[in-house]
Amino acid sequence: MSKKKKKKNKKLKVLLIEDDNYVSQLYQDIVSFDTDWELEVIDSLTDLEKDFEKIKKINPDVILLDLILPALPKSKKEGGYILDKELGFQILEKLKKDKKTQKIPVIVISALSGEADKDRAKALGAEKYLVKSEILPYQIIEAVEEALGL
Amino acid sequence: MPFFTLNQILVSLINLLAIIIAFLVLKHSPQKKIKKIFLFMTLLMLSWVDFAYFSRLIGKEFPFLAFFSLKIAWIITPLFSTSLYFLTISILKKEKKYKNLSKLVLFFGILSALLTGFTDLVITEIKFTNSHLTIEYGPAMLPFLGMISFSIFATLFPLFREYFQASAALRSKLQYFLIGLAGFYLANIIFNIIFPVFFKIVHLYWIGDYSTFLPLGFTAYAIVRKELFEVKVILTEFLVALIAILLLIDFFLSKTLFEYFWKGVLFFTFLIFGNFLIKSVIREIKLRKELEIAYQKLKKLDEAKTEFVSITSHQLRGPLGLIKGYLWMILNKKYGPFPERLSRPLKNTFEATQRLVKIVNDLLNLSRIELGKITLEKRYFQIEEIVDNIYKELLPAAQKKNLEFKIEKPKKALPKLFGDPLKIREAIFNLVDNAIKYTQKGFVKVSLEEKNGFILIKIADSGAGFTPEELKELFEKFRRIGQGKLMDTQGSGLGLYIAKKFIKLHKGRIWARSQGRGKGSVFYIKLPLYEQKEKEKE
Repeated sequence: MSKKKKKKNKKLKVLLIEDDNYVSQLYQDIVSFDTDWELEVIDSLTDLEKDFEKIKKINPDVILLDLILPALPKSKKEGGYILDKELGFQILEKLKKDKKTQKIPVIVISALSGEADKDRAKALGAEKYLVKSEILPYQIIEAVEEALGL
Repeated sequence: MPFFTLNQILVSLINLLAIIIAFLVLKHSPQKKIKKIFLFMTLLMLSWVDFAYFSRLIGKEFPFLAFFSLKIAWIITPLFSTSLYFLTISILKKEKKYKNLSKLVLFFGILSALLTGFTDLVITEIKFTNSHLTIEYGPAMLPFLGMISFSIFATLFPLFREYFQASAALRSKLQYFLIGLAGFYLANIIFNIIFPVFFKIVHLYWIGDYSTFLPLGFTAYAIVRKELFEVKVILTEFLVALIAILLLIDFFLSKTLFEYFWKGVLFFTFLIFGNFLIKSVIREIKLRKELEIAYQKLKKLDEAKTEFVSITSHQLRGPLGLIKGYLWMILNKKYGPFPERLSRPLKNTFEATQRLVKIVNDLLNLSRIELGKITLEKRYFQIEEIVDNIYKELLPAAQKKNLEFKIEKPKKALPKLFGDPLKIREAIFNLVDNAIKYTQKGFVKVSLEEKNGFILIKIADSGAGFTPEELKELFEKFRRIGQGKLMDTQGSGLGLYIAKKFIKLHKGRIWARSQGRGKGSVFYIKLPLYEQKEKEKE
């Protein structure tokens, strides 16, 4: 379905940063049914520096980023994870500041639909902002193709 | 002699006011320590004023007594200044921080008081010329002034230093305190030090003396103000006390038994009514405060509710998006073919999910509106495109009901609107969606036109309609009126409310007309083009 312009021999690599396994399964299904892209998933983030190194290692062509991600609580007393949209924004900011990763298009797919969140993501350099409950599966593929100019 | 008369009036007035003020502070100040210092200060102030006055009153006949009396007034001067310092530190609550300074101020205060009281080094003697009292100063006058100046600076230093770090509430207190202090210091330096010591002007001493009232009055106000037994109560009490004292004086000036009797009755009656008056004012203020608290609580509860709706809606959207996604994949046979008999239930489930998403979105919009979090992303857009897009989305629903569904727009393109296209779309969508929902047969027509600098969007249907009474609550939250209630219960009841809010945000107008139940309805949206023109000018 997709004709690659740049990497003729290599499959397109999509990185999905998403903590909800049901969501990543759905996206994996869509990608595997309709494309020959490779989908890698990072499902938990704990340490911004280490996670960022992981992303660099994967070196994807495009990143699908969820904003509300589990973060380690600041004090150890709390235990468990807390869900925090700041983590998503932090990763986005880091991706767009680092020379190695700033050219990778980032598509935010979030449950958040507030204008403030959309504006913030765009200001930080996100290519596109999709709201989870408002899109249909094929639109994710369209968004990736659009972001890569396919 | 008119001067003495004025002086007499002033001295009596100051005594009277000081007693009332001391009483008010005793009654209203929550801090025991401040109460004590304040009471002590009032006592010092009255002694200062009275003894200084007394010495002038008896000066000619009893020079020794006058000298003695004046000395008492002069002993009190440094003590009053010292008490001002301690009051300042207490109000600031910085007793520990300025412990050493306090010791020093106390030492100099007592030293200068003793110096004036037990030696003739500060005041050597007094003379009377033209009924004005002149003081002969001794060699220790300058050190005495030095010590008083030290006490003044020691008071002002922490006051200014802490002022800028103080909380807003304390700051406003300190402001009054500062005004009183400044007035007192200034009057004293001019009339009690500079004028008599350097220019030999002695007859204006009383301005300096009586200015002791300034720090007292302002401080009392500042202390009591925060407890906000409010100025109203204070003033009432003040007035009641003043009149009561005057009535009492009048009572004692009675000449006949009958006069004693009726003035006594008047005095007691006034006391009873005065008491009632004060109590009723206090009750009124308490009531108002309670109301204020209740209102704040309600407001907080309402905000919590809105916040709750916002968070819950967000959490609902996650799984809803998933269900919608999977259903779409199944319906589009991504997971392979499915039996034909499953087609309808699957499609219905998908549609129900879509509706659920819409309801959750409505709730989210509602919470955003109520939290004031709505922001408009304004840009130029073509209204026809939006209406076409809505038409495409709702056409299947209209066809299902065999409705005549059409759009009428002028042949020439309409001028572009400047606003948030998503919000405008939401508003028009809600109206058209409603029209289709509440129309069983006939038509739904959407028309667009430009009229006097406005874009007018008209949505007419041959559906349920509404009565004039129902119109009143049509655009309210959670309203589903008349027949609409019976036919369709899948909506959130928020569509029109949200549409109204969004259109109002664009400075537009939204309204509706109907000939009555079952006679169809027309909804109008009017959006101004002028914002665009203003933009172009820029």
